[in-house]
Amino acid sequence: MGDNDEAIVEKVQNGDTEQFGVLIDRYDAKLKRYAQKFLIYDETCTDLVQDIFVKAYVNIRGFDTHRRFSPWIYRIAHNTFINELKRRELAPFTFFDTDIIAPYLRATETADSDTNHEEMKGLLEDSLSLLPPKYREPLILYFYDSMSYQDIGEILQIPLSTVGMRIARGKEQLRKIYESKHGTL
Amino acid sequence: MKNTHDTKRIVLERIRKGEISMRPRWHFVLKSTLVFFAIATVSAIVIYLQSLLFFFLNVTGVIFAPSIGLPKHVIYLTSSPWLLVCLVIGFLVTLEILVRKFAFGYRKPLLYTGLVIVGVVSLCVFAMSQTPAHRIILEMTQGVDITDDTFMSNMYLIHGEQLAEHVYIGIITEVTTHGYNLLDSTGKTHKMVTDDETVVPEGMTFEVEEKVVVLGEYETPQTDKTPDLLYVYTMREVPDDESPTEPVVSNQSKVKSFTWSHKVTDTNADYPRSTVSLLVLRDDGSRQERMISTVDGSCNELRDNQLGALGTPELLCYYAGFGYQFRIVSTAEGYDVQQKEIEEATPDHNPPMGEFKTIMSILN
Repeated sequence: MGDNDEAIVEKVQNGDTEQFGVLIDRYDAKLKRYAQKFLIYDETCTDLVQDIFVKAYVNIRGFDTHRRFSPWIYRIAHNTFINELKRRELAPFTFFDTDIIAPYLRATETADSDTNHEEMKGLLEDSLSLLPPKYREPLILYFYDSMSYQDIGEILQIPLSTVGMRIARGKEQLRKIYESKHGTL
Repeated sequence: MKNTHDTKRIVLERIRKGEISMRPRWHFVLKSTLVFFAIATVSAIVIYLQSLLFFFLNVTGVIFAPSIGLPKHVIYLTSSPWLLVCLVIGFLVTLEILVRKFAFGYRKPLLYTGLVIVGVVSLCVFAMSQTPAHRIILEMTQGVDITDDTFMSNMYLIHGEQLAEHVYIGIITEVTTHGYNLLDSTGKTHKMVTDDETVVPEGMTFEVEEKVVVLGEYETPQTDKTPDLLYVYTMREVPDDESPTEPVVSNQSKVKSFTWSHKVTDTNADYPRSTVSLLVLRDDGSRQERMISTVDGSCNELRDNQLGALGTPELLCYYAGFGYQFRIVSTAEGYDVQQKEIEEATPDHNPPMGEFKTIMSILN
């Protein structure tokens, strides 16, 4: 096993630019899947992921190697995808989200059983495109990229409790959409 | 669809060709520094504006006006410095947005960060309210040229004039059957009417010679009430350690002369008491009476002493071995009214010589 992401970033920051290829190898497939699921796959996804790597390279000296690289590059991806949705006028994202105001009690992270996890993935495959982007994104990061609430919070720059609330509401909406399409779950 | 090798090849090729390059480290340091600087600047502005807001509300008594009852709320609304309120809210929102750019901001619900910001700002505002900063600046802006379009001047002038509409500050000269007579700084006497609806801070009573701030309204002639009466909605005493300045009036003309005015205002006491004021005559013909002090004894001008600014003699107010001496001196900005305590020497007591201290500035 090679260096961790942060060690590779340090090499790139110090001028070993070829090492950036290792980071592309590690994140290209993940970011493409993130793009396809979040934006609902189309041809622009590959170009957008290239843009993400270009932005990451340009700004790589601003990355603090004491922190984790994964949320950092996913944050760049999040911003790129949101801009793309706005460009396509598909994003109902507002300047101010009311769900970041108060803490939510039911928003603690819980370990889903394997059965539940697989069931949710099935629901996501079926009805993901019908979910609003606000709920779609944390569900993708949680179920497909297996990210923790903390990492999702860092990527979306929202409080931990809001991550939990959006995932919980996303699941509820997903079930309702599925049931309206296919009857009972 | 292109594969990982395509992405890697394309990106690395662009890096090798120099089409894309890393931003230097100083770019990010500068960016963070600018955001921190912006937070510090916005914090300072919001603290200043909020303390100025409370200063105006406190000086004019508007701060306790919400309890005056619904029909009179219009007065409260028109007398409140809404521009300041909006500015404070705007800058607080800006501060919240800036703070949420950092992990310590966006990791917490807005409610928490908002409460912390408001709490810290309130603490700073409280600390600032313990200093005479605003009173000094307000006094400095009195007489400032309205065309001097600086932010600082306008903040005080606009709000001073706005608040002047329904706010009267002065000294109670007489207790009447319908309320009080109030002598304001321009020398005008207001016949004030108080009734059961007049709101005063709990336990506060008013006597002759007390300095008070009044929020009220002259009744219009259309009503059946007497038009020259000032109906008081709220009034409060001005403590000795809080010397509010009357609403600011812009004035561009130069001072032509000063004349002392001293009247014995309380003849009922065992000894006389005098109200000292200064009549300011400007070269545009305007006259303004500035309230200086209320002292024991009677006063007389010391024409044999060296004359002060604009040939104004010193004024001595004296009773039973103690008294005050007043003079006017020129300064770079205009004139200072100064006061010195005096005490008569006796064969066995040689009191120290007092020093003149500035008690009021008048801009030219």
